Amino acid sequence: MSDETLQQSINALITGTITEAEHRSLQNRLSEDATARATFRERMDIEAGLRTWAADSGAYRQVLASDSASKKSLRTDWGWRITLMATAASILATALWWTQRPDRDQLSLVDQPNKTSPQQTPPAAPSLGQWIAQADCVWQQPPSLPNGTFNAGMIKLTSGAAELRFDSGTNVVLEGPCELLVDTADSARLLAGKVYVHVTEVSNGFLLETPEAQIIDEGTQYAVALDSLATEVHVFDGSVIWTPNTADANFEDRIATGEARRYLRSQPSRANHIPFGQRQFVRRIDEQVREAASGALLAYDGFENLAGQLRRDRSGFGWSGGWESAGFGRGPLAEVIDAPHGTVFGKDRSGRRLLSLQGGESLRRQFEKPIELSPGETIFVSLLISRQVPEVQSSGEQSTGDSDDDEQSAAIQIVLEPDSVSPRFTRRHSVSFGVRSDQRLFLNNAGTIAETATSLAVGEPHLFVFMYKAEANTTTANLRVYRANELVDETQPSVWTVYGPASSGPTKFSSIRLSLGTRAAAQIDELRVSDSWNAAVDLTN
Amino acid sequence: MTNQNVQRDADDDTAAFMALLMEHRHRLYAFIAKQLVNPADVEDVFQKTSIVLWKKMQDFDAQGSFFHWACGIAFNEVRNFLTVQRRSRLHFDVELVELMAREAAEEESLSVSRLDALRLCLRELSERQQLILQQCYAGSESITEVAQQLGRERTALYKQLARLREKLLACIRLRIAQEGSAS
Repeated sequence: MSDETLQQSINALITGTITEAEHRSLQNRLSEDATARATFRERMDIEAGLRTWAADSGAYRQVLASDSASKKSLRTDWGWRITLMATAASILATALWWTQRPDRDQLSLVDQPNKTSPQQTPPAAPSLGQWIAQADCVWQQPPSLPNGTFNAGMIKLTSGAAELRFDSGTNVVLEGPCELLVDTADSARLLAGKVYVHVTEVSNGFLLETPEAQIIDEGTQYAVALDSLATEVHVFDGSVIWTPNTADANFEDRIATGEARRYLRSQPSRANHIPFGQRQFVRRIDEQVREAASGALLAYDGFENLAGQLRRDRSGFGWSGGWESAGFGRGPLAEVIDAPHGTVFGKDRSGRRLLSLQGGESLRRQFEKPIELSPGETIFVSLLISRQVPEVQSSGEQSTGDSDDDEQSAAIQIVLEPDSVSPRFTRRHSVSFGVRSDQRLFLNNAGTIAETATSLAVGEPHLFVFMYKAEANTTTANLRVYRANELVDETQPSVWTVYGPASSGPTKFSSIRLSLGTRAAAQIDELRVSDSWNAAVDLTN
Repeated sequence: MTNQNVQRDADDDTAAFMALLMEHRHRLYAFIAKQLVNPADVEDVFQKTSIVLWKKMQDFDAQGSFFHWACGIAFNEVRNFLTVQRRSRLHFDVELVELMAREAAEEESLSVSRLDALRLCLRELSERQQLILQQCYAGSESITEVAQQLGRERTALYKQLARLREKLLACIRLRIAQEGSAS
């Protein structure tokens, strides 16, 4: 067991999501390794300290809430102690230090499905996570809890797609018709239909059962289709182990990335190799966008992958691969999150997703083939940008001020990169637009810069439309930015927000880059590269 | 001795016991947590241990270490708990629990240093970060609910919690190292 695995196992133990196998492995490691035990003790000191600190803080807040009118002097860390001392009729008051807390039975980080206590009536089944569904979903039996949460029980989806986001860190997309019996925070049984399972990096595993087998993940994105005859398993990333519930205990089939198997339900111990990805598992909103644009869109990303990290996303079209870090980091890329409910530029965004970029993040995606402009041709790049308060600022932290590019650190840039293998050439001849740190809108046509003073309200979506036109010997660029309450021009406008002077920019682009300064944060959606104004601004889908 | 005096003595005993328990409660909780991990189990055993400690207070040698005496009783309660609850949740073998209890008791001063350092390190966090930790660890809301209240993605909150723990761990180690070099 590696140190990383040790940490993951300890996490799983704390969150109550550890599997029996992991538990055995952890026990063996701790029994044999004094260093591992020291690591465990250190971690548990922090966990215990945080719990007692939070409990103290909670009691403290209760004292303040109940006595704020008459006992202002209790604003000390020990206020709760004085209150306890004064009100304790017996020593049980001390023993009830924990039990007096209103949240006694609702510990957040641990699910307690097996907890038994003869003195207590069983609590209502706890929420196991949150669900979202596409607007046109038809349910036979929807998740049973209100407010978009679900607990253990049967879910039957007749049509459409819905996603269950388990608190244990696993996301399961159901594609109707589908029947799924949710057992616990980290297990479920597929009874019919198709699911796409994404065991995220924060999860400690997920057990999916079919009537004939168990599917155990190993850090995975996979999909399962179950019908009356057979079960198919397709693994997109990582691997899974297929273990049939038959008497043949020796059979175990490991399915790796890019592989797919088919098991007859009458013979779950016999694997049939089938072409990977032959079956379509998640309905693609992208297709609707492509059809609506009638071929005018060269590339598009609405970040509408219902389950998946950005790096592995297959969202959008017109690209040669997924998003990649344009910086030095090799960790997970920016997150894809739910779009806020509401209407943006006349279109309902509820149930959609968008890209959340944090300070310093820089992403690049290659076009499927380089976009080349002949004289007289124009391309448009449009996207929705909503400035956000960066996490560090919202947390009250101060900038260290030691950044190399402090002046640029709140900038948001969208960069069209020329088709070149030379980083130096690419840097010098890129075409970009966006928002500077001082909130001025800018465009940069291969070194020729134009700016306009403005201010973009934080949290408000703006539609950016960038136009780039090639002439015989020059290129021109303009930028139009629409505020949320503005009507978007139906045809190419004659008035732009930023006018760029003619320059000699490139006419062949291979990729686009989204870059944020270290103190910027933004939500980005509906990225379109097109050869027509209409396709650039159409937010129909 | 009058009834009033008897009552006063009882009150004094209660106050003395509560003072000791209050002083050692964080360490005792951490000691139990290292054997049981699951917060609900830890709280159950902490509660039972507190009651047993009170009942057996007359056995406590005031010249000795309250913490070590309490650890002995807490360990018995852990063992009793494991005997009854073993089937309801995954727990470590008794041998490992005993080993961890022994090492945890031996490591008392380091554990105290960590807990003290943790409180100081928590003060270095922003109010918002402290609020996040309070909401997640006090347990009045689920992670999903906390994420909703904060307007955050659940996964992002998990990540932030992990980052905050790492930050606290680094701070704790630094403080303990500084203490060590200063002493």
